[in-house]
Amino acid sequence: MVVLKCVVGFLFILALSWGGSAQTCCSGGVPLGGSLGLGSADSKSLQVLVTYDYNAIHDLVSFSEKLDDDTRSRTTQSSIIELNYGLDQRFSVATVIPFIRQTRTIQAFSGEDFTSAQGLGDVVFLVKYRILPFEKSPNFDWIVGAGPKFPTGRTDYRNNQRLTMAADMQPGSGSFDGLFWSYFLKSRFLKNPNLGLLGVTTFRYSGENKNYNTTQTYRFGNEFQAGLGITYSLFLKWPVDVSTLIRYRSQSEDLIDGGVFPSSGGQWVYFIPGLNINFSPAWSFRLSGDVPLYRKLDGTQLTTSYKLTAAVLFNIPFNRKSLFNN
Amino acid sequence: MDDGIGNNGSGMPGEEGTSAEWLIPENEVRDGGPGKDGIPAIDNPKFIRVNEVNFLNDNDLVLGYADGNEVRAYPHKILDWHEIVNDDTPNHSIAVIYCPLTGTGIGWDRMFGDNKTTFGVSGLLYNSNIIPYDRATDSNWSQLLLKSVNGDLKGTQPIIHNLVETTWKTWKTMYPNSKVLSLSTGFNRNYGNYPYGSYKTNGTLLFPVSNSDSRVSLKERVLAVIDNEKAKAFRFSQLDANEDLISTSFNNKNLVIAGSKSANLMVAFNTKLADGTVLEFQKTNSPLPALLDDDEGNTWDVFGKAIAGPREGQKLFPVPQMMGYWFSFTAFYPDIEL
Repeated sequence: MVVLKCVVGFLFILALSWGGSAQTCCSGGVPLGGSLGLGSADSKSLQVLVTYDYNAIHDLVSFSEKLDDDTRSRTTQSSIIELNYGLDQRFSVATVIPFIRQTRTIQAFSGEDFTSAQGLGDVVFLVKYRILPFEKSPNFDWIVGAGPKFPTGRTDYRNNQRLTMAADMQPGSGSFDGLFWSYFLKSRFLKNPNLGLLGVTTFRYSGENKNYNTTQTYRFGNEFQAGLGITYSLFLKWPVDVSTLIRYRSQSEDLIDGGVFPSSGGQWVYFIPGLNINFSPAWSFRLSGDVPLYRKLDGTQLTTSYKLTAAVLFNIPFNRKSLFNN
Repeated sequence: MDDGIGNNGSGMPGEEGTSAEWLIPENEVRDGGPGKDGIPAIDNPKFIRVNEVNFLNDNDLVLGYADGNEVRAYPHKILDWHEIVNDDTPNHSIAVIYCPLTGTGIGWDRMFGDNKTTFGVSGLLYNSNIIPYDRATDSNWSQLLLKSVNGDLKGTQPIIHNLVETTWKTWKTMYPNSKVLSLSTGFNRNYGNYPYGSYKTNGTLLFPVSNSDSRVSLKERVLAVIDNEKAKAFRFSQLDANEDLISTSFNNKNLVIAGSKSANLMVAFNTKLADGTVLEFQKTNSPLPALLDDDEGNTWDVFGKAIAGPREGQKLFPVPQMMGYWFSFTAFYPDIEL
């Protein structure tokens, strides 16, 4: 219980300390697509996932070549609250509320130049559907979801010269987007009761911000992500799942006033080791990291050097028969 | 004799108002994205000889500068990534300032009175054009307006050193013994790749401009002469149609425009010398860099220097000018003559 209080307190402090909402992009950006981390909640059960994500965007990469340059760096820190409620055994609804802090540091001539923007990001709402009912497929869970991303985040934060910052420094996107999400978990994989195979696929169809810099339009590139991994259950003091995931990400180029914005978009492959500690059926703690394995970018961009993610999951059954489903 | 044009601030009054205010509409100044010094200027340029250059193709563009007998070329391939080179030549300290989005390049003197400064890339844009800043006062400047538009030096006009833009093929033929900015910039960049994708040839802009003019296609490279907040542009097709020589008047000045479409070179000069003599020019038969013969028997080169004849060593009176995309000049000078 003490451990729970400490972890929750730490994450809530992080979640609340940045204030408003926003969504941003850039080569790393907010992990909305990759962090839709919940499956489908059981009927009349509420799941709450509180995530803190630190994305270190330090690598200057030209197409596939990492350049030896440390004059610029970015970070994206995201505190994300995901609520997942089971309507019945097949349908659930989810909402994702991100809080974002973007920073940029440049080793300028006169010293370090630091800029930041923080606030509430773009909120996501998903309707999820369990394709295979649990009774008929106890070892294979497949859930799909779809829904909109609302432009709830601001896109007009200004720098220290009172000028509106570029799109990828803004907490919001200014656009309605469409999200598609698919998740599966094959338990008892290869007939091993401790082994699971899991996969997550997301696709974001980006809308257009028609009020970029008041007179322009901006459209972030469409994003596709697919992850495949293995999870293995150990039984230590608590049930522990260790996982290894390979995630592929592809983003098309951004458009400004209908024309391609140079040095945006690309393809990435990440290695994601993870750890999940199930302290009780009511809550668990997750830790994972993203390590880039492959990058093929459009042009020269700052991109993710590494990412760390910590999360706490609460399962609140309103129905005593509801099971934790992750 | 100072080769530059203008007066760098000492004695030049600034505009009224606080230094925090802008001489241009502040709501039209854009954050380009990289941030201040996010595009690093080159402060310690290294040079190599023409015969050591192995990274330029014949059609790659360079900006050339002559300080007496010291002749230097600054390739677009490097300028696309750094935009500003702070250089010291035997008699001058200049900043070569190039904007990839407008295709415009010019030299500014770095001496302001007795003080020498360097220029950096502010990361800001006005009408899609670079806004450099000087590191002595942190003032912001407009390249195409040829003056400071914000900060302590607001209203100050720099001393201008005209640059000659042409292809590498033409340049190395004209100046085989010149120095060329090397890839040893102090930064790690992929200079073989153009950072803006298909921007040079597509029909779109990345940032809005306040005025557009459809007389010429958006990104046709033209020569623009700028004088007292007015501008006049010249096209290669006009030069070609006039046998590589155009005599014209602009803003009460008589100008001669010379060059060659095939050599991808076009420059403008005032026909009136400092001593008041007005010369008549014709195209020379001598090879580049020789460009013009006059009625006194002098031959003048692409930098406006007499290289033969009784006035050998003298220079034609320069007028501020830049090669660049048509759209950029019409954005700043809506009444531009053509």
